[in-house]
Amino acid sequence: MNALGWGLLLAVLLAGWAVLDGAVHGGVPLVRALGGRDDARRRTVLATVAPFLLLGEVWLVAATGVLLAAFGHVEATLWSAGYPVVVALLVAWVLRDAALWLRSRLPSPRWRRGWDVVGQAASLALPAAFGAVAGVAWVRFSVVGAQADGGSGAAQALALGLPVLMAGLAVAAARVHGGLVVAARAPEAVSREARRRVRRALVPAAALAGLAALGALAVAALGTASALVAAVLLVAVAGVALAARFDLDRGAHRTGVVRAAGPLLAVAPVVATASVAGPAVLALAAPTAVLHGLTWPVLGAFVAVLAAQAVSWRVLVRPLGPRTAVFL
Amino acid sequence: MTAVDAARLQFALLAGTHFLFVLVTLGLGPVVAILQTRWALARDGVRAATLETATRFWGQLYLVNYALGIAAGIVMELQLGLHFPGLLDVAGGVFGAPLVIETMAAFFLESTFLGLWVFGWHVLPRWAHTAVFWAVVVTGYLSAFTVMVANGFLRNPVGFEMVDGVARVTDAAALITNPAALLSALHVVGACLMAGAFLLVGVSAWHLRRAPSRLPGVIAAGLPGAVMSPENDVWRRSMRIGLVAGTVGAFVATGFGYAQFGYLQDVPGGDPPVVGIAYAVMQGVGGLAFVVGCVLLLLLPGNVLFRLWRPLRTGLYATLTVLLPVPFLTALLGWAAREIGRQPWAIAGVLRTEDAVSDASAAAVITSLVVLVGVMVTLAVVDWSVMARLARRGTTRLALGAPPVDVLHDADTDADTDTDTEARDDEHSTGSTARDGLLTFGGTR
Repeated sequence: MNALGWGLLLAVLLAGWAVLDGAVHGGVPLVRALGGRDDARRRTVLATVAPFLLLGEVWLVAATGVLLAAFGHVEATLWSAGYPVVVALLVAWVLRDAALWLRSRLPSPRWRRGWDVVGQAASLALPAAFGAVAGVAWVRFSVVGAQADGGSGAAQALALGLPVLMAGLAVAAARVHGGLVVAARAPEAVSREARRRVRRALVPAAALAGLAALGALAVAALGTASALVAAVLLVAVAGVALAARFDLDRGAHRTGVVRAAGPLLAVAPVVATASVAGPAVLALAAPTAVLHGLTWPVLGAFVAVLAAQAVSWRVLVRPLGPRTAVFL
Repeated sequence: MTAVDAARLQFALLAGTHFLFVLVTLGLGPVVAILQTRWALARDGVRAATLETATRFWGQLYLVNYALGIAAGIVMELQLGLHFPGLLDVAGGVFGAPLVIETMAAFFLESTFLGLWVFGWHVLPRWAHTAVFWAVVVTGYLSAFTVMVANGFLRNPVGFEMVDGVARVTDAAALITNPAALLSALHVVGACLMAGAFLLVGVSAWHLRRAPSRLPGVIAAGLPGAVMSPENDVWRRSMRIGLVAGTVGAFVATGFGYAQFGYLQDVPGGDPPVVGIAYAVMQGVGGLAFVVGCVLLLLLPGNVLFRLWRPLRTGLYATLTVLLPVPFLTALLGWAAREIGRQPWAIAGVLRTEDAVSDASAAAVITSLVVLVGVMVTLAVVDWSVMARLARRGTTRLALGAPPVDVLHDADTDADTDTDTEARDDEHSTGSTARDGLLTFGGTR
């Protein structure tokens, strides 16, 4: 597998994480709002996204493994440029996991409510930090980084603005996506409320995708042509988000557009980053001998993982019922 | 403190925290798998119920431990790129290979299977559910082995050549059969089995010391003989498994500990006093655990152990509970010896640690040290206190594998309405009909 193959594998892993763990990022912040004061109701909301936790976060672990083995220089550049946001990502991730696993272990209401607050904050911070890292990647692996270091005012504004914009987009996308997952799996009373929240989150998400598209155009104008692809993708995603809002407004929540809006918004930051930063990242890949030597073990493992995950999803993802295991 | 010191200290503290969770994951994993297999195969209803309870009790402790183990592992994974990019620049092609296998194959599958095990509890057929947990155990051990291959390469670099200052693999088989990987991995397996066993024995002894050995009704009726309560049966079984696992673990850990002295003589590395002390402590703990384990195993036939003279028995139980942290502290010493013994090298004889660290400022590294170590250690302590409370609570109110309707209502009733400061969302109207409809999802079991 050459650098392009490894790059695609990395993008697929990140996109898988954005969709699967994104359900958790979007679902957990709804726990307090939809659950109210009733602990059983809160846990019902948690139960809708619970299977996505172990099966989802591992995709980002795998992606960092690929980054480490095939794109070591990319990792070193990204980590040193985005040091504070990488540390923030780690802290948010760890707190999110702890909050979800520990909240229901003790029966005290205060213990549980406390962790729900931590879980909500960390579940917002996690996609925000990831989006910010993606924004740093836009800057460092396009012409923007070099021009900002060279003193160009426009590039410096972009270098500051893109991470913030991408953080906002990632959070808004997770809200829509997670809300739709909760709505699809929860009992009707909770579903209705989740859909109302999704409906309100769609316009901000579309607006942020539109702004990110403008950012991509600016990057393209400065000289990284591949950012044009990102701009087109982001405009398309913004369109889908608005169309989904239109469908929800007329009470149609089972349309294909509504179903597609969540996953499309969730992968938008990853795919856009891949098109902006892709060419520069591929140029920094590990030597060919290293890449070729690892091809078969990694691809074989990935096929096995996909099979295991496919079976798991068939078993686990169905509307809540008497055979749903509640643990979180 | 220089940036190099801060990066090393941060790595050491985070790796130490992570490994404390790994010990329980790898040590308790096979025990839970064996308990569940025996539960799946049990024909007798009472025996099956006991084994089910034991599986769920130890499985729940395994999960609460695992939760923070993953989190700590994630922090570890990014430490290398964050603070030791030189390691990847020089040896990414060699060192990165086992790590990408770890994340792409072993851990990816492990986490997937564990999710399937927890959340597919009532859906999967019993045999498939048991097989899934064995898959968790096998991939967990594979994961540990790949990490030891990476770590073994640092201690005893083999199977590579340097081309223009960059290492590349020439012999993958040599990398895998590196004694610093193979012997050390087996040594670690022994240590993990010991740690899991001390947990099993310590917790079981705590309960056995308190539990009456006869059912109250039997005592009241004045009937002779030691009749066990079902819960007591769980602790006795756990104690037996723990004693076997611990003795085997002590034997394996000690044997492969001594076996490592062979290659250690040939590789460069310092030999500060702390390493010698750590070796002495490990030899003492391993040897003593093996001898005491053998003695206690001899007391198992005929349940002699559980029928000892009462003061002797309670004293023994109390001692076994107090000793619970010993293998964990010893394992930390083991890692300290491993990593300090390699200094000043990051890769023995190839790359010095000071050349591997990032150019991040000392202030930045110290800040992240305080933040990450602070968060991780706080969460670890919270996690262990939760585990201690779950261990003390025993087999009542187990959430793992319970019918959903029971789990949903396991909260204490809310008495502190005054102190509740959460803003109630005024948008949704929670009518009682909506609530009842909501909660019936788990109600038919």
